[in-house]
Amino acid sequence: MSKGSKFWIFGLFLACSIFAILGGVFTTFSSIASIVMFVFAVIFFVFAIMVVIIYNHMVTYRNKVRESLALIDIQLKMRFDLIPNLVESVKGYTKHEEKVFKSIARLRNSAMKTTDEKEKVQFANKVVPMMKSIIAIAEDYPELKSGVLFQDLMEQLSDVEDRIAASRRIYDMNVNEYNTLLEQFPNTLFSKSFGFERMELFKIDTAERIIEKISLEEAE
Amino acid sequence: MVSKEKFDEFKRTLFTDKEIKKYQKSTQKQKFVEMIICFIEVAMIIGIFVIALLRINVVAAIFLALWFGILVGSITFGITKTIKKKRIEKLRREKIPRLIKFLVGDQLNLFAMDEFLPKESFEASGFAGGYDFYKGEDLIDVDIPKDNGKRSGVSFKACDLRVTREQTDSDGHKSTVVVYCGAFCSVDFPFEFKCKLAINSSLKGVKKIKLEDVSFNKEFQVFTNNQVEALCILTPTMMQKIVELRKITKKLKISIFNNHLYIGFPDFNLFEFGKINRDLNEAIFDEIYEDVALLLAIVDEIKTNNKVFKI
Repeated sequence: MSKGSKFWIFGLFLACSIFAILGGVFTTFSSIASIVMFVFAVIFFVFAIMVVIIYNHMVTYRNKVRESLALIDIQLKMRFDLIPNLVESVKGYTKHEEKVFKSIARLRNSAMKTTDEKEKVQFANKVVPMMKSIIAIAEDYPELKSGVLFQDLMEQLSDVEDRIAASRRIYDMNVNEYNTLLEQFPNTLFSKSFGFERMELFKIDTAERIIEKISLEEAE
Repeated sequence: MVSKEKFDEFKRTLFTDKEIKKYQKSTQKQKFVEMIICFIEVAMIIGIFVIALLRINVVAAIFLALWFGILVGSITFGITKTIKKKRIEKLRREKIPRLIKFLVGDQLNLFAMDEFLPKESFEASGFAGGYDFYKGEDLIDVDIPKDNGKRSGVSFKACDLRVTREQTDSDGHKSTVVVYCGAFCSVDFPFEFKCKLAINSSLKGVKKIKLEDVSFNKEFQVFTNNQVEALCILTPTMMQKIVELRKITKKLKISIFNNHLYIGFPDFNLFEFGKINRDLNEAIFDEIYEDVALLLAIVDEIKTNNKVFKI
């Protein structure tokens, strides 16, 4: 049975129970049948209200998870936007890393194209070791490391990495709350039939350590 | 911050034998005067009781003697308390500036016992609502050094505040309500924070957020206008430090917005002597050492946390 048809049947039952309650009231409970019908209708009505509340609750939490996923997406996009500048700033100093430059550009393009969040995170994780190796080049070139542009870039990257970490924490928090909500009773009775499924936590790598290292070395 | 051993050495130099003897002498003198007053008072109470007994009746005699005893006793108690307070205050004024200068060292910009932070800072912090009396003391101004140890020009300021409000109940009785009483710290940075963040305080345009640490959520109410930026400040390490700070000061309020950082420790007074017994000894300075250590730990956190506090 599809999700839409389940809603229609549920709505039909709800409408019937409202009619039964009204019927009981208007007939002033003249027969036993109308009283029984009224009692069942009230029980169903209460049950229906409870289901609606649970459903709305789940929707709210799922939307919170989606919103936090969108937050991660924004930060990852900012990280991808900084990659061309990073490559450009280092390119002039080394020719041995040509292969890394090309693969990072390829990964960035694929990540920008995909709409699947999981895939985007996977691309983002693959990019991190490449970013690290590009940033590490600066260790051998003091003039690059001390350059204003490179320092500015490191600062921007550091900010983005911080925000990625913060967004991931928000996402994890919301996913944990959402998953707990699905597992609680009586929510667990309805979650699957309404199409709510457990969500996974992401592992998002960051290039924070290498940026910190470079910045510290420069400060010294 | 100087080590505990150096502090122990220094505090011994704060009192000379002469001073200790002088203090003991004055306390003994006060005790003697108190005893004499006590004798006179008892004699007067008995006298009043006898006269009233002979002239009026027993009930009136007891009532009069009691009334006189309470009145004179309260006045005597008040006077002796004030004298003792003044003596301790004199001692504070003599010793604490020297001690603070020694403990803080070159970082100290100012220590003024009669000065305090302006009310505009307190109002902006969102630590308390309306008030009609604002007073403070013990303003300390410490330079937050850069990573390389050089002066940054960014000051960490702290003082004790007492803020009250007069209120009238439905019967027209007036009473004074303490709005805020405790230590208040302020730092104005040369950069702007990217979000507003209020911990156990109230700022405009913020909404409540939860953090991943359940125990932190129980202890603190966190409000912000940008959750991502707020979490960049409230890293797990920072959260842990805040919890540790609260363990020491019992109550804690933090406000961050524009270029301001305000920290409040309600019910926590800075630079007060420990309990002074009959004999004056150096142990009374121990609490001040703890206070300075607490403030310098905050300064150190600001100095080392380059990510949040870029000075």
